Amino acid sequence: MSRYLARRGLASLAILVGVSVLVFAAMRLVPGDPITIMLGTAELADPKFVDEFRRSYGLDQPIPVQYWAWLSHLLTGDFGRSVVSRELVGDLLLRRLSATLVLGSTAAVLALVVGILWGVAAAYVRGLFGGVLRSAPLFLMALPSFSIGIALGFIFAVWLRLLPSSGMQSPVDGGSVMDILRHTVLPAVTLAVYPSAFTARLTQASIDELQREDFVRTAQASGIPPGRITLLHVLPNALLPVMTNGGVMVGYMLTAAVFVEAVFAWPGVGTMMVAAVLNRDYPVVQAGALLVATTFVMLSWIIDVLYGLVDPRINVRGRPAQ
Amino acid sequence: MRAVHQRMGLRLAAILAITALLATGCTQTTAPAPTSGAPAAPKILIFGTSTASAGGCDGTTLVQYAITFSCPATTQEGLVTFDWATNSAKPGLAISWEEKPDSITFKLRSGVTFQDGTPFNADAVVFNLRRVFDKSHPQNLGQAFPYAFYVPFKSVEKVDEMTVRVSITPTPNAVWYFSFMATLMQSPKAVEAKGKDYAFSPVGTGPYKIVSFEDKVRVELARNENYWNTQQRPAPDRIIILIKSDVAALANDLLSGNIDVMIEPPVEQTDKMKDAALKVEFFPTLVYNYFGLNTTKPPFDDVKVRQAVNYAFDKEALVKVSKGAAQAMYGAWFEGAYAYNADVPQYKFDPNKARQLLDEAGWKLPASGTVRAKGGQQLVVKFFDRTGRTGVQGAQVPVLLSNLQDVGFKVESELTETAVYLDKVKGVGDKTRFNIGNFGHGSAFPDPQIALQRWTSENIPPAEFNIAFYDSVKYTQLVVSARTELNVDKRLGLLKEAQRVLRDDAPIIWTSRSLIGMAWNPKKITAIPLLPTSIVDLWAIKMP
Repeated sequence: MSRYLARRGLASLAILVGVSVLVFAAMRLVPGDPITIMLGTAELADPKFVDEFRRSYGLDQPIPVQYWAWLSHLLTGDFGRSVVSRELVGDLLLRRLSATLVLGSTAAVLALVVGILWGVAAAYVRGLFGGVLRSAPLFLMALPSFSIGIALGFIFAVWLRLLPSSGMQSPVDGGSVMDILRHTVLPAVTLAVYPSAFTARLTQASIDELQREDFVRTAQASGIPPGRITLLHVLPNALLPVMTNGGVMVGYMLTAAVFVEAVFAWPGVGTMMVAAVLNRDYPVVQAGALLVATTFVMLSWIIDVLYGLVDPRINVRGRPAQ
Repeated sequence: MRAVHQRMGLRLAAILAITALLATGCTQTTAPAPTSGAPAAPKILIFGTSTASAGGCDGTTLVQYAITFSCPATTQEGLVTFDWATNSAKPGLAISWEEKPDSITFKLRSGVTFQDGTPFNADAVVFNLRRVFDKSHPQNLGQAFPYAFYVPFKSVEKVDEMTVRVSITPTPNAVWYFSFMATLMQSPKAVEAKGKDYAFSPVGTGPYKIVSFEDKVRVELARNENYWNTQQRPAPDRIIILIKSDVAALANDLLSGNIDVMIEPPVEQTDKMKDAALKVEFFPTLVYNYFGLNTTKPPFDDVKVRQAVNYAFDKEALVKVSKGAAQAMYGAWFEGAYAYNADVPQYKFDPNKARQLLDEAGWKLPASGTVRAKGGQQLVVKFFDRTGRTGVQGAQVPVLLSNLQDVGFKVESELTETAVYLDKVKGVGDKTRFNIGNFGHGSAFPDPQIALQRWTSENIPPAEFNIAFYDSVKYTQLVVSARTELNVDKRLGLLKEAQRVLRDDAPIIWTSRSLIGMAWNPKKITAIPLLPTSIVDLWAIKMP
């Protein structure tokens, strides 16, 4: 196990270095740089001044030198300063990441719990209601998250005035746990719609499939109560694909968070990244991309290990499975 | 996100906001000073905006100013303030000054302290000006001070405890520049203590102090109880600036009572807002919109064709489709503003005149067909723009395209991402790439010098955004001479003549002056006007 982890660790490191080089190079190869965007739009384009600005951010150096400077600072934990806001990128990232984590983890828990329960219900409930349970996920998956967000915001914030329409806390004296929780409801629900519908559909489909398996038939023939068969035999097997897709779902949520954060003015990593890319705010884009890549790498790692623990047929020890 | 992006080219950043907010100069109405008696509930004003200043709140280092409640302008003050009503400088932190061609001697206001208790005096002024203009000053920190660039500063010396003398390069209206954001006074003690993080919690002398600052999210200001002006003070006790990039989210906030006022309400929501008993008003800005005609390429290398399209563009139609957000503009400078030339005949909408000029230029309509041609070549022009335009700059595009087709042009369009569009080599600075470019700018300074300078030869890309590539020796000479002419009348003559030349050569179609909407809840706010710089006129806010 430890050898497996070490091997994966090395591979992950290589991936992260690769991502950082790619992002670094790509950002510098596309036209436009932060100084010309910032100064150009502000009518301050005297070449002398642009040069001075560029020098003050080290952007006059050759790209490999810039990369090395960035990397060597990074290794000491220094992500540099944002070109646009001048803030330390480390501080900015930490603040934005915590906001995204609040939103993402709430949405993930919501998506899993609702999705699995829904899938189970859809697999076992018959009749018209069962039909609705089965087809609704397809409908919900087809809806783009931002339109759901706008609709929910309008209904619950503007019309019913039950929940705040956007932001992470009340404008005046906000910031308590309850206050943040109230603000989290709408964006978390919006973000959870697709993954929960997807999970429901996946759970239901794999239960349907498992119902026809020999071991279930055998269990039924042996007179084991249906509830026990579902809980102990069908469900653990049905959840395997849900877990495999967990990584994909987190990927989806990271992408969708960009839209959801924008719609609800959630001060998270998504909105930060979009602004940073448009402004060519190199240090922020680089740190953000590295963060997203690290999240992905770690998640696939965790899922692999979990998978091995849940399914004895998968081997992570480097020896053939028994 | 969309909203931030769309505003970049014109509004958020183009507003130079060169003038510091007019702490005393613009005083119209102010709340009375507190009187004894039962303490009233604090008046909180929650202001929603989709654009935020980038880079903290220290006026001296800010690059981009938002059209918003200006954080620097509410917390920091300059030596003078600029009064828009009279186009003149008024006392600020200096009570009087003596101007000579190469120096200004400022007499400072006594009894003023920075918000951290540090006294404001000649030492503080010397520290501040040296920090900004002197690279070797220990607190310069190698930072860039963007708008310092415009100030004709040479050196500063302390004359006595409350007097400083500033040496300058001879410049017309030199004292105006000491109202610029770049010369807002900061507490020397705080600057020294906070280093490169100073911009996030600056300490000035202004009527408000910063309680918290979170970039692009939220800024909170509270009344400076020790403000030097005890005679008058602005109405709100606390100001909360909420920044959300999505204007629709802000509109929801306003409709649901989460905020009291928003700047730039979405056009499609204004009717709904009025139905909800909210107040919606528009205020003129110093932002103008235009199309640049590439004078280096046919057909716009011919002045007659340029004049023709100027007659062909229907400004009144643009005003109509902009629903209150635009005024027609007929020249290079704002009607009625300082040094505006009212005697120049302007291009009013006249498609027949346009057709006649095109005929004279040799571009004739074929017997059958709608596209003009000359020597077997069709009159095809390439329109170049960035994606995601909204507001007046978005609205002026369909007006242009249909107007041009009406008089016999065929227009091809190319749209690109903002960063590419603004590239001075590969984007709108590439003269081989297009015939007509869409643009707009903020002047935010009452003097037309900077606005007119844009069209000089020295500002042809890649130097600057003279996107018409207009290269006139005569025009450039007029504008460059005006830059240093100290005789007021002579200088006015130069600036006015430059406007006439520009009108005749027609390298630009001036389309409109932008207006900015504000929507607010009248139960919380009675009045909240904007200055021409698009910054809230703090002293004119009225709250019930």
